[in-house]
Amino acid sequence: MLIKRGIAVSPGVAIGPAMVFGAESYRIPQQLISVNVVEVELTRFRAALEATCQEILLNEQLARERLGDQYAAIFSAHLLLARDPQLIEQIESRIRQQNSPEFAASQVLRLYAKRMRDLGGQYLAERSIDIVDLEKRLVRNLLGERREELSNLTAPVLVLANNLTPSETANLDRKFVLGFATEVGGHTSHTAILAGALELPAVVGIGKFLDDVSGSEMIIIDGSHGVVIIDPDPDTLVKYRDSEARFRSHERRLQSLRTLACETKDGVPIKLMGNIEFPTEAEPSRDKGASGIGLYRTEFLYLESNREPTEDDHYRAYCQVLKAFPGEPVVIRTLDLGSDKMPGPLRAAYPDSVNPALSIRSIRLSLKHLELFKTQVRAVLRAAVLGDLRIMFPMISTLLEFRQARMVLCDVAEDLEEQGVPYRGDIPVGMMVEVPAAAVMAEEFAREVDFFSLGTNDLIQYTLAVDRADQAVAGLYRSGDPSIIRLIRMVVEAGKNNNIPVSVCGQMSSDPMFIPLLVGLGIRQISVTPHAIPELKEVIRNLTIERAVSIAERASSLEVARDVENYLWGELKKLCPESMQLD
Amino acid sequence: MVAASIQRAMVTVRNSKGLHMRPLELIARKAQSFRSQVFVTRGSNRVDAKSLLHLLTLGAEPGMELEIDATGDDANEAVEQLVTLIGSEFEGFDRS
Repeated sequence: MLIKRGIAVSPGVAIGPAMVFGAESYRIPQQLISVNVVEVELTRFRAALEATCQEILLNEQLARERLGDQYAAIFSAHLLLARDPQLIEQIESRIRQQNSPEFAASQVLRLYAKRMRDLGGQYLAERSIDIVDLEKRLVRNLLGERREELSNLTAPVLVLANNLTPSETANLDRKFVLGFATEVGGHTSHTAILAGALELPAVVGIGKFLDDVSGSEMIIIDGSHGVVIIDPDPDTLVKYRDSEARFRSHERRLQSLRTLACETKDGVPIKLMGNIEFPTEAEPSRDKGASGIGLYRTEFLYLESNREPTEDDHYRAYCQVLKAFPGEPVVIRTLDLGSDKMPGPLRAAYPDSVNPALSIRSIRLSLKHLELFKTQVRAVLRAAVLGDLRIMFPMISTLLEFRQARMVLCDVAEDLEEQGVPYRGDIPVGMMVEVPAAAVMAEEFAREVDFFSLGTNDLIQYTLAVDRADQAVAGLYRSGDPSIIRLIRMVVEAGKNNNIPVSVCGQMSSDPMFIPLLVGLGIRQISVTPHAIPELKEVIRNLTIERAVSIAERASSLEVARDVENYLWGELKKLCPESMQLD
Repeated sequence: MVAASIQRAMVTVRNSKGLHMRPLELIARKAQSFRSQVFVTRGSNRVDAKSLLHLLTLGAEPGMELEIDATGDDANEAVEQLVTLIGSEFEGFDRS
């Protein structure tokens, strides 16, 4: 049994056989064979090995004819690997111990690939790819016609991958995929978004672990706690089967909350909205109970094709989201990318950004490249005719920046007016509070902006100077740090004094444990990953304002993040004992 | 029997790129041409010289000292020829 930890991005428990994606695009049907077929399976293995050698010989011949002896030499080494006496002995010995040939070959070759990678050095790491390639050939020959493609599964699997690209996820046979786990990625990776949309348990950002898994090995993905368990022992399996069943009944109970109002026990309404990235997420968010979109990330428009999006690309996407939320607010966040991620010539314009997080990104990029910015703003003002569309600027750090951005918006409105294009120029204009400087100056900002949205992800990163995607310091990233609570309090106060709304849209607000604190600090609008909405609604409905205020008071008096988080966790358990049975 | 006695010798890796795929392939093929069991040791890692996979896990770089040992009726020739091969420059094979 091996336990791996990553980032929990989509809750729930999935149990089943692993399908390691990328290294193999097929599923190994069984791990074990019965004792009376061992000889038959050994023969089958030798035949598959011979077929593999014939393939390599054919490749060697083709390479020699077309490319010359130097290239053919690569295959002669591959042939020697395939006929390696140690390799054959180890695989056959596992088959004698009743491992299926597919499983035995996969396990032994992966062990070698891992050993070579672990030795370090670029050269051996690259050679380990040759071993993986041999594994693929061999297993493919073993499976023959029984081979299952990822796009054509016949039994449920848990998909494990280094990362899933959009095209790979598009080809998945969704009927049989029970959950996802990936080595890289964060809350906004495609795997996370897809898993959230499909409501499948998922864990990302686990770090290297695929070498430790063979196809068809039993896996548990705990998407609520960010845990992946490889080859669980019987006790663990029983525990998780139990928790899988409880999660299902918990989901059903939460679903029944859908039609109930989102208000505290003493009747104070709290607005729960959805964070989305793709227009297609709008309807599912509404079905989860979102009353509006509090954060529409528009980056996908720039990333999905390798060109800058046109005004119409923007316009169509915004209209689609508005259509799902008639009469409800939809908040568009303008471009929030670093120059390093931009398509086309912009990336080339800033080749040497030493630290992208502190460089040309977000609003800084927009203000430096006004044509790019104006294209997006024009589309927003045009779409605003159709509903309650609002705009906010990310990563504002000084008043001057906000004024400049607002000026651009006024210019665009004037242009549209002159051109006789239908638009709305008086939409609410807000800002993300995610740079500590903006939180400290919130009082001054509040006199000029129409609303604040606390982007806790970046606010925590910049306040604590921690990049949580960096494994070495990820543990220092703490949403419960007293400095964060104090900054949030300052922003809420500034909002109250100037009568403007303050919402929270970072990952912190998707965690039920922080809800009493946020409500107690005075937050009345929260925007979260859509699938978190039912659970948060339950917390809110069990909470009174008086209780929330006292929780916030007590949490504010604590000096270190660990104490704050322990305290909030304890309070949540008292508030929602039923949900907490899940842990 | 005399034939089963163990033969040993030390050799230093001399080719400039270290023992990569192509030189290791030649070493494995050479080892396979003997009836004796042949091993190569680097530090605490003793591997089967007839196994290219095992040889790859040596991570042998230029200047490293390796020990060759062989057991069998042609152990003498095996050690002698492998020392000559590993100590050579592997000219013309550096590209892989």
